[in-house]
Amino acid sequence: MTTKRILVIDNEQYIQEVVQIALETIENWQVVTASSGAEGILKAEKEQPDVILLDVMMPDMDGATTFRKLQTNLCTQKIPVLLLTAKVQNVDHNRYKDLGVLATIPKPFDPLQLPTQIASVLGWQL
Amino acid sequence: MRILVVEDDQATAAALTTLLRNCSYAVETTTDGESAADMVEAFDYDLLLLDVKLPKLDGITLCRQLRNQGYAMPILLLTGNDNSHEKAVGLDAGADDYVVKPFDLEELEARIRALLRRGQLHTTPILEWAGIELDPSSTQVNYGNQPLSLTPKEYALLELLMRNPRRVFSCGMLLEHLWIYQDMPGEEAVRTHIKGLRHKLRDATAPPDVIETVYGIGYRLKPLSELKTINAQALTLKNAQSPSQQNAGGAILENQAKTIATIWQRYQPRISNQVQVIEQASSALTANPGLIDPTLQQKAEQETHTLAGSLGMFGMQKGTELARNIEQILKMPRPLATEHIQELQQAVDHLRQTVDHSAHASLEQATASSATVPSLLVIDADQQWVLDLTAQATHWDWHLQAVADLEAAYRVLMQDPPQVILIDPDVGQNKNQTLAFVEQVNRQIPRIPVLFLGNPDSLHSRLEVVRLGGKVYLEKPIAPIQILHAVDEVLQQAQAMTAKVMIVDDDDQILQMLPPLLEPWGFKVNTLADPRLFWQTLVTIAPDLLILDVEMPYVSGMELCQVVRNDPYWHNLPILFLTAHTEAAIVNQIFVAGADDFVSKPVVGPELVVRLVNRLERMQLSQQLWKVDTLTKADKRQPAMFRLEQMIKQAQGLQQPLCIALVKISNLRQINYDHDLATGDAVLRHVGRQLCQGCGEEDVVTRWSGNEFLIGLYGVSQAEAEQHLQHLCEGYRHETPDQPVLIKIKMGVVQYPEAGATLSTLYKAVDQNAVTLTHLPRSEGESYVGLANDR
Repeated sequence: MTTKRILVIDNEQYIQEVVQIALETIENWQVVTASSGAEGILKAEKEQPDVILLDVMMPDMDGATTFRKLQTNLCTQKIPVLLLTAKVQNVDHNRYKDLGVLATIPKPFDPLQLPTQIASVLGWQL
Repeated sequence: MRILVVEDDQATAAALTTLLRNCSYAVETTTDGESAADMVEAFDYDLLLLDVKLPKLDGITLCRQLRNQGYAMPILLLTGNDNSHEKAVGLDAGADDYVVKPFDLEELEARIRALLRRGQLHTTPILEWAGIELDPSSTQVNYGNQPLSLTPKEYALLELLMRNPRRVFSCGMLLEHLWIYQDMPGEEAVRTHIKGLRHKLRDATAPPDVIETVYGIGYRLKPLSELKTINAQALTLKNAQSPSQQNAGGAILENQAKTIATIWQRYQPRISNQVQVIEQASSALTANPGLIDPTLQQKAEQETHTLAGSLGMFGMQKGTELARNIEQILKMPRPLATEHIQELQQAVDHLRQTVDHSAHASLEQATASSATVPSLLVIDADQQWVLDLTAQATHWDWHLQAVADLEAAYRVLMQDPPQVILIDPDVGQNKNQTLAFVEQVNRQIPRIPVLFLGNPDSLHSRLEVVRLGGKVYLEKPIAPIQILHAVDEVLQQAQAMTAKVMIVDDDDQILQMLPPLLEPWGFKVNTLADPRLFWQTLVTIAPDLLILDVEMPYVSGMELCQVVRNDPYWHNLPILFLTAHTEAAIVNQIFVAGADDFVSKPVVGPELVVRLVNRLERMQLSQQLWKVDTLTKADKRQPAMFRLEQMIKQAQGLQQPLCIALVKISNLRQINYDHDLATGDAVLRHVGRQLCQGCGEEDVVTRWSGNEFLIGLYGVSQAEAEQHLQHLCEGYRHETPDQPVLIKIKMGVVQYPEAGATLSTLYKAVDQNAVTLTHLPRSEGESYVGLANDR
């Protein structure tokens, strides 16, 4: 299995760091981080990760907008996106599904379980 | 080991030769400095024993000359003169140590051993780290039998890092080590070479992050325990089903949790700020339920949302719920109803408590999980014997991992390094393999002591073991309990190595350089640049050793030293000076002021470490005897009273809660009657150590009187303290009773200042307050403790 590369887009530094530590040390995946939607799109183009973890609520460009831009961008539209969201209402959930988001991972997540969650959504074998 | 003795007095020379030959060293002698210089040039010696007064060329000059020529072997000076000036001059000339004539043979032997041990570190033929092998003699680097082609600078860089595997190098330090002054490039050159090196390592499929960037400081080799190769192994292990392998995975998860706890600590200020914004919004809404500054409103919503999404990640589900609750209220239409304002205030208060309390708890957890239960790695092929030992260790509540071969031992070392290693020298295919293993452990994880457990053997192999840094040589057959006692002893000594060192120096460079130098050896280092803050820092940190600069603005190091020596509590503190001066007058002044030792600047890393360790080992014993009750490991009352009184002052000054607790074994006398004194001692030992382990570093546990322990718990409320202690005392019932002994515990907690303003009033209050614990199993207030063969 080749090493998976994950892009994490979240404005909160410590969440980035926890995700990174969890994925890098538990599964040896490579993690690239971005602190805003705009930075995230650039990095997605450049790094071509296997999956993008995207925070919904960010100050400059929110998750939904970022997601739309990723979808309309030829370089990034094929990359699967998982949303990290603290909103758990079903309404939201369905709205994201409609948008074409692969899945949402509810925040707060258990860092030790995170790799398993991601892998099961994407059908990766651990 | 080949030793050259340079001594003009024939009788002394003969005595030394006999002594050293008895220790299996190869010894040659000569009588004057000039011939000694010739012999050193012609032959390789592992150590020089050098008399100071010699015909033709004196010892000091010879020493200086050899060092100038680049000879690095240890040099031990023999001096007839016990004055500090001569010693200072000798050490400054490059000698490693000195012995004053007439010398004590045992001491001389020990010093030689210590020096050879040190030399050993530099003469290892092949350096190895995480599968990367570097052979300095051929400048060849391999990873998994695949040669790496490195540029000379990349090679030099890697060699430097691998020779100092635990040390962090700044760009500046790397420049100084790898380039000569005339063509020293800028720091970006270092980064370029690091990058090149990482690329080549990655191409060779070595772990790409083996060279780690230490943010804001520099570079180092990533500790093996953190390297990802381990995780790759863990992955394969996860699929296999053997229980020991699953344990390895568990250890990684545990490390994981610890790492996440450290992230929490690091970002605690940020999270505290987030809560503060919410607090502001809450008080704004309390003042005016109808209106709030829209910016504040928006910010508070954002922060609440983030906290709701993140606190649970750190294991604070409650925090997440509170934040969600607050978020809902913040979004309600204005004006807010009174009940919602109340609800908001309460939730915000709770959130603050949760966040602050967890800061404390996670810190405690991080320190506690590494410190409480002693962990032991046993490398021995004798199954039955290992089983017996395991049973005993379980009884002592120790964590024991047993492996039967060196390969398995490597794995455990990388994944879950123990505190002590116990090894049978015959476990390898041959003795040399075992010795090579021990040598590697010593080089890579110097703070893990290694105990040998072998068949009765010759002095020679014992010497070999000691030279490799083995701590103790035990002979089979031996009862498991005796082993654990020996390990316990070594652990106590090893704790001397986790000593706190405080450094006072106005030179920023020194303050930056020393911590990365000392920390790998297990020292906790605190630095202070402004000597005017000396006393409060000293009292807060409570170091085990003090390093002072001689010349500082406002107050000199010597004055500080005198202040310490004049204090009734601190006067015993070991003090070491750093100084660029070697003039006899200044050196004398330093010693007159009360210094224990001094190291001249520029500081040479290994020398400083050896001196610190020596000093601490010597001091530790007397200090321990003075401060700590050996049976229970609790502090003795007299010295602890000072710390408790300090605590009271601190609690008063910082407006922090402080609790004084009393734990009393109320039937100790009865136990001594019904069983015997040894049983009573075992009960005391058990209860005392449990209390010490269960309390944090800043708490004080003292054996107040025969059957009483008085405990100062800082920064916790009475309810928390009660809960914590009850939980600790509950621990007794988990013991499996082999020969049950009934223990009755009385416990009480009072809070300062409500229950009293002084230590003695607090003690009286808590004594009156203490009640027999009723929640314990069986009949009221009774607990059983197992004391199998522990006597």
